Amino acid sequence: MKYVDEFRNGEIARAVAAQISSLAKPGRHYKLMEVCGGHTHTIYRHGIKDLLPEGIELVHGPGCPVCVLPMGRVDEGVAIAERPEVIFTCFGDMMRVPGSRGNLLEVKAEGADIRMVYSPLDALRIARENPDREVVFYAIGFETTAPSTALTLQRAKKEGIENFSVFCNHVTIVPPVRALLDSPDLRLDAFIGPGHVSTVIGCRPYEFMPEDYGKPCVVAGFEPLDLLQSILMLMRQLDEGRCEVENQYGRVVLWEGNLQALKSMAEVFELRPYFEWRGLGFIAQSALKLSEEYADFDAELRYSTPGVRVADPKACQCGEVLKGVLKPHECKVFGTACTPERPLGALMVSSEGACAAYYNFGRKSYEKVEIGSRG
Amino acid sequence: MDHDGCVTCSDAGIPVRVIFLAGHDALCEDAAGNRAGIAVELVEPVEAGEVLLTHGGVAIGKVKADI
Repeated sequence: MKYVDEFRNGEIARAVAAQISSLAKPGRHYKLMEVCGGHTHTIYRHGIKDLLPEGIELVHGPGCPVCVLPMGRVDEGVAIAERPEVIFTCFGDMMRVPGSRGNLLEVKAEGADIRMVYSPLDALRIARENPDREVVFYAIGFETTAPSTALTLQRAKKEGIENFSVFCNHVTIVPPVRALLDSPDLRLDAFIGPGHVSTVIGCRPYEFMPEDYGKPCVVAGFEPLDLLQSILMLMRQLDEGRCEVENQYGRVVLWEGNLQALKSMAEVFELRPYFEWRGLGFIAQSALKLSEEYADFDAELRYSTPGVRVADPKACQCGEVLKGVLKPHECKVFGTACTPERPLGALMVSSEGACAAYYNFGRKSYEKVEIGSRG
Repeated sequence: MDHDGCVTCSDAGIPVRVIFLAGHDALCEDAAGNRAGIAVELVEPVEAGEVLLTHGGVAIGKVKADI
């Protein structure tokens, strides 16, 4: 099959949607959570919700690594970036995430040398090309991204590059999902598993969902038909009383994951005892830091970051949206005080954040028209 | 390469075909014809013509589909 065209076939999509509808029991409300910014984006961009019956609700979990970063970690990044000897490198969406003293783009405008990169390997190249400057890479992302940072550090060590370090904010998917399942706020029926995280970690890490919580999980790809097929597979499990982990994205994901990537990560990283997540508080063993073997490349040690905690702005409801308790349009500042042009919180900054996705693709469903409200 | 938005926020995985190999890197091409060098240590062994899944300039998996 051609990778894209066949996976966006409208006729097949409607046929799969019809099968999903036939499995939805009248009067029952199904809550399916996806925990991946890419899935949120596909759902809104391709109008997946419009194909589903009313009884099936798609809830967006904390799958965007930019969105879950607390403001304090942004402030620490800004503090490192402001150092005159530093060339600070980061992915695109990190540039506009608000900290308590501004974002990286504003600090860049004030003269800091901050450069957007597509890959941590680009940051390493900058370090090679600027031996008299200190290059710091602001590493974010789940297990999909962590291998690229690990590989970059392995290359840096092998080449003996000393002017390169990483400010590590990689997070892992299982602990926050467990925290959500433990939360009394949500009554989820099933999970749509993150396809590219699973390319690295495999499907086995999700077995706790059926075993400990009785919730089925289907690992899903990112094209519209991938998501629809995954939803169909979940509805079949719920209908048949089955509860297991299934892999819809078999053309990419192996059950055991990518063992070479996992080995690289095990060499370069270790688990932090705890890490703060926006909206979820502190979660044990949910994030990575550099291992002792790679301590020389650790920006937190090189620059003695103080570990500040900063509360979100009072009006910000990113936490509730991240937990799936609120839909983006239910946030009191959505589309008014908080827009993509002037974001209050990270979910409106990230192009795959739930609020940005709603704002760009989903608002038509929620327009309100007031008629004759004033005399 | 063929992707809109931030690569890490979207958990983007871009399928690319290997054009040729040079050590632990490969020149690859996506469905739109864009070409870039990709680090392939994590999915070796790799052959020209294979389709890899890339994220942030690094291949993290292989794709059993055409592009």
